[in-house]
Amino acid sequence: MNVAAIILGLTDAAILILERVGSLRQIAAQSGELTPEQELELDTKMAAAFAQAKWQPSTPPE
Amino acid sequence: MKKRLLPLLLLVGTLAATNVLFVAAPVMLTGCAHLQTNADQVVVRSEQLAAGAFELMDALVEMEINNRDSLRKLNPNIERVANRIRTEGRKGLEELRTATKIYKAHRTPENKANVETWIATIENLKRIAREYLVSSKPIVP
Repeated sequence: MNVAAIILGLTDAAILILERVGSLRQIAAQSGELTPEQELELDTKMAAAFAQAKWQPSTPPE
Repeated sequence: MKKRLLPLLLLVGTLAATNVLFVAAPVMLTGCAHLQTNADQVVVRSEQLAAGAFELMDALVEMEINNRDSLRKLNPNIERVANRIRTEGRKGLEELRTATKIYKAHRTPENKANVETWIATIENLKRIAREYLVSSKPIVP
């Protein structure tokens, strides 16, 4: 493993956090029940993510 | 020596980043938003939890898959935690959303209890992931 890989890994983690700060703030600001449109948006977002490779269980090596 | 420190730095960095998400998010989710007078507290809590937990779990599985080779060598248990999130976390989030929609349509005590059960399940999964990531405790499969 080289330094570039380390830096890329740490950068990746930092970017992931920054990408989600906005969403988390938006969620925290929610003071009422979601509207049907907001519900659809959330469910669509989750379904799209669950279909991606990152959500498929891996097979750890023996 | 330097070669041994670099993977450790990646692991620590990745875990620290994940911890920030798991530790900071509950604080952010209990922010200063005031509940609307006509809002059902269980529904608001359930919808906030589903959205927040999804963001955290999504970040965790993405970090794990992006750094899998390195993390596998350093601590294979991280992959097990991520896989548990991928199976139980996903199922729990889907069940929580379904239970919430059913309760919103029919606000009975039974449906409310079902929502609360799935809230507890998701909270527990968040706790397990967080505790493991913070203290490197072995997980119970």
